[in-house]
Amino acid sequence: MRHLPRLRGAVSASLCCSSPTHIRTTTAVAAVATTSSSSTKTQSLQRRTLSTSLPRSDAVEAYTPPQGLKPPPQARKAAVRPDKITDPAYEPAQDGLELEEVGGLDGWWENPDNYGVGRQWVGYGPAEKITDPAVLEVAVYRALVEAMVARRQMNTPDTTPARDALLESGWGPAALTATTVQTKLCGGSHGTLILKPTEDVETATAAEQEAEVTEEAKEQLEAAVTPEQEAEVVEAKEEVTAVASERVAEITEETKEEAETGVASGQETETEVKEEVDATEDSADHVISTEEARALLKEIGHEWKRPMIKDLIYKYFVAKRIYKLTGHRIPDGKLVAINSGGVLLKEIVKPPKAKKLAEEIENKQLFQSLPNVKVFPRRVTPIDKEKMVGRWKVIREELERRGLPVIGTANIDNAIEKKWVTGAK
Amino acid sequence: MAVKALHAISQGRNGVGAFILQCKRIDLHYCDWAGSSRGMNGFIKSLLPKFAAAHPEIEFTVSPRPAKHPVAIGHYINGRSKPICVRNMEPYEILKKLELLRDASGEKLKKVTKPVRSINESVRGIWSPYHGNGMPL
Amino acid sequence: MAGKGMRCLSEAMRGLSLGAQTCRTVPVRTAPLISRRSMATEAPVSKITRSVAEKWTPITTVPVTVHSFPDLAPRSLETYSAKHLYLPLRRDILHLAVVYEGDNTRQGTAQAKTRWEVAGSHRKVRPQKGSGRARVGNKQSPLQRGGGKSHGPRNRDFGTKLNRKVYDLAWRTALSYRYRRGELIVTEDGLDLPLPEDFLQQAQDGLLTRELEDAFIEKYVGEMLGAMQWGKAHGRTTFITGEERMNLFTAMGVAGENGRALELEDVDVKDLLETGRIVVERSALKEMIKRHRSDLVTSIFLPGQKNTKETTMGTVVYPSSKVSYA
Repeated sequence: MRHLPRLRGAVSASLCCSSPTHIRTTTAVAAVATTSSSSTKTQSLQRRTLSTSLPRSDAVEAYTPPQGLKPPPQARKAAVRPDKITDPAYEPAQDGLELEEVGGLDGWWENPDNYGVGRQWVGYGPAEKITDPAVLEVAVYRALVEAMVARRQMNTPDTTPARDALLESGWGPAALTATTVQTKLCGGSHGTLILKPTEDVETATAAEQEAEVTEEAKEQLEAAVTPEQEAEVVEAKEEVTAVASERVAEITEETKEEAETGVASGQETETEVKEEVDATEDSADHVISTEEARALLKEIGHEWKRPMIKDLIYKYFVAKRIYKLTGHRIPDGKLVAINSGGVLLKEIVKPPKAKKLAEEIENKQLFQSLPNVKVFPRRVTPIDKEKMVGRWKVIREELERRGLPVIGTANIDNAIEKKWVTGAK
Repeated sequence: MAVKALHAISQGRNGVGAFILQCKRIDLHYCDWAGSSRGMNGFIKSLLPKFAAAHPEIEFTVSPRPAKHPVAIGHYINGRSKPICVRNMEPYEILKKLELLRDASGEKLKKVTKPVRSINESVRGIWSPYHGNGMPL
Repeated sequence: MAGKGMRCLSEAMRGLSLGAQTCRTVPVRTAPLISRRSMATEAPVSKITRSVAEKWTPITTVPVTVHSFPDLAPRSLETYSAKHLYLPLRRDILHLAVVYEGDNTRQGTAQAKTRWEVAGSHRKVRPQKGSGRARVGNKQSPLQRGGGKSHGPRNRDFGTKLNRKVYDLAWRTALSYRYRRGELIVTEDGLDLPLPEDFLQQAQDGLLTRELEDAFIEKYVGEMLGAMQWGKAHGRTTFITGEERMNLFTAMGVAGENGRALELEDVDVKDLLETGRIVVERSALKEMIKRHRSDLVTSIFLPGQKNTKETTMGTVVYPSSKVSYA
């Protein structure tokens, strides 16, 4: 009988002490115990000993199976007596060759009744990656907007639940995507990506004008702004973007607005925030279709693709949001190089690398215009060659007429005459 | 009997008047998995489009041959073929091999021992013991 | 003559010296050249040249996202020094390290008996002369059947040496290679494989035979890693933890075709280069780098002097208490 410490049991998981020395001592105790007495008595809570013996019959009887997983039937130690057999079709075997194999636990878990259902891995993102370029572009834009709102909230305290809820929410209703996308992103005074102030904002501050400056004027501004001024500009920019993002905040989740105003009033409680988050999560996630995405893309434009993204935490938020929305995990190594919305989009929309050269040739249309080049996706076999010259049909007919195998040797040995000719033994 | 000189007629030779490339087809085989095909795969992707465009008179076939070294096989109008294994070669080395296949005549390689080789008959004619004065003893 | 030459030289040296220039920027000579010569077609300015005024700021730190394990949700963001996780690929150094490890992993316990070690009498087999047969000595001769081996394998150490700093660089180069390719996934501490509770309960209650347990784990882990695109079809996965985690290690032992699990102590550079991706828990990654940075930190400590070569490792960027809007 084999004893191996293997799995950490369900019970032991809660009782388990994480200190390694503790585990070591219990193992030692269990090891001593198993050598001294029977294994059934010394079942340790820390480590379960597994054996190759059959399941204990008493345990099977007393057991009520939990959710879905069906334990195997009790092992039978003796055959049913012939006089107790009810099946009229039963005929006892006369020798060993006639015995049929019945039962057994091979492929026991292949049956969903035994294995249970709903054991699929559930990841952070959707089960299927989104590959449609238009939908991806909308998703990236939405992620950029929402991540910017979340990033800006980091300055105000006690917004962590609201921020997490924003970053970890799904697509939400279709209207949410549409309204989020209406918020414009553009280049700020330093060429970095910011939320564009809306037209209805009347507070025309100097910072707002700076935020709207075009690419040409940017350089002049940059030259003029000293480090001290820069800090002021950043602050002023935040005020502007706060107004702009209120629209987003209103629609995406009221929680954010509350969290912002909560700094002043200090009356909002976290429970309220959570309730509202739950309320928004109840509405089914609507992943937009290609047509919807194309319509939204006309509104979005391309202005957001150029400006720089430098802030690391913002990038992290964006990556997290994109993973949630599209299922594309942006690895950290790539995050380093991503410095604008356009680069980010390109990274995600990029089709997966072709695994085979023939596929790559097909994708890139390398020999499309060359009539003298033929590309075969698989090995050209002798049969293929015969087919190309139209001889295969004849060969097949002739082989069939002679009763010979068309493909393969049909396990016929080499010709015996060969031995006579070559003299081999 | 008056000796009549034979009129020399120009013989049909490749390159006189017309040139027919001897190489009619080049097969390229590669493997998707093996490392020895890396150069060949790169060649097919990067250099073959240009090479094939420059040689419309040669037919190219590209097909995988899994678990085998990459090979380029030239087929010639004399019915012979010339296979060259291009394992572990860089794309530009393979290009050189393809140029070799293109320029080859398809004939079996022969050892050239004579400094001059010509298909023109000798102006002196073939020596005969029954003609001429012979050597006085 | 010599004096004049000397003066010219010193003048030239003065011109070259840094002190002679007010500012260390490279002088840009554009306007006079263009004004002097006008060309019919002026070549466009190449984009590969960089403005001198723009300061070159190399990457010093790189981000590392810490995920929760089974669902891979991003949990926090840390930064590591570029010298830890963003080194350029050096195949030669990796080769050195892998060969070094391979040499030192060899057991070197092969041993064959020489003629002096083969047991038995060393009596002359037959007389030197008179038998009509070849002359022979004793039966331990390598020419005899059952005799000793002439140049057989002996117990020996095949180990080779590699400078510690080179090996440590190789280690971090391997990590950097994985990081750059996006094949280094960092998880929260306590990386373990969550097997279903009902299965664990049944296994603990002894309802399942070992074969059934293995079959369940194989199916469960296979399906899970398949769904994550981490399984056999995607090049397997190596899990690295600080110490042995029961469920993870048992599961990967059973479902070995989909990956492997290693304790930190057992990891070599070669292990980091094998399989499709490396999944490592946060503390294990930190410990790995800590153990392999002999070329970055000095081992000489002087009182009152800070280790200036120390670089940042695993600095938490988000979520942290102190944040500022950049």
